Amino acid sequence: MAPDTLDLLPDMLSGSTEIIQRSLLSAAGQPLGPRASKFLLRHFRYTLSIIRGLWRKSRRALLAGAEATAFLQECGLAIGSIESYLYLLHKFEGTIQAQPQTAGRRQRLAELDAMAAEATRIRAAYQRWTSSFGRPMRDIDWQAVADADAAHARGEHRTATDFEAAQATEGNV
Amino acid sequence: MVVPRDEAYINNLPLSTLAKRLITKFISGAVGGVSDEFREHNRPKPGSPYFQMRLAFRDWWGDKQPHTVDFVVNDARVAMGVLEIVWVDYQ
Repeated sequence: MAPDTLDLLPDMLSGSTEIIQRSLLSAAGQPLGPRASKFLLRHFRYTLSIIRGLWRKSRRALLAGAEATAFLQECGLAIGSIESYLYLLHKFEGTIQAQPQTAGRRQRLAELDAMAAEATRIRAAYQRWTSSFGRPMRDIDWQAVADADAAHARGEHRTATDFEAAQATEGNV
Repeated sequence: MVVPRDEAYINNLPLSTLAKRLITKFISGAVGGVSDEFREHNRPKPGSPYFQMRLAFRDWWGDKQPHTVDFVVNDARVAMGVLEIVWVDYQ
């Protein structure tokens, strides 16, 4: 997917979850017919593919290094959306379980279980990132800050670009 | 701008070479390109000449664990296009 499409993933995820929610609400406790079940199952698959896409995008962001505040917001949104997805998935599973026992029903239930397991794994990854990257900052050593300010004032510094170039050419890391 | 003490700190972190380069890239890219709004929202105290910023990453080439690096940056000379890193803390 192109980068601009990747940016739309959170919106796509909430939109897709909303469609599922509306479809389940419109059934309002009535047994779902085969067409409605197929439609919803397709939509759950599609929504999981968006969750997967979002997770890959977040992994890539960590590969490049991400600003933590924005990244934590992304994690929070993803966790919320995945929780809605799992809630709806379990509701849908309940309606499938109410259907007569057939091979198709068993297959659908197995697929829903697998989808729930994958979404749960991805949610756990987001939760781990949230606790790792959201830990409090340690106390700032203001004496060290004052020393650095003095070094900057004396001109004992170089640009980040020069430091980066030195790392690459001098092989000092 | 980076002082030798902080360069040495970054170069000596127990991370892979590529992860250390990622930190330096973050300083020249993200820290250098930060918005006025972000700086104002991330000051330790209102009116302080410093703002804080955290880098989140996983060292895919080393221990594969999530890490953070906190920066405190003096932006008193931002009008001249100068941001000075004054504190770096790795967790």
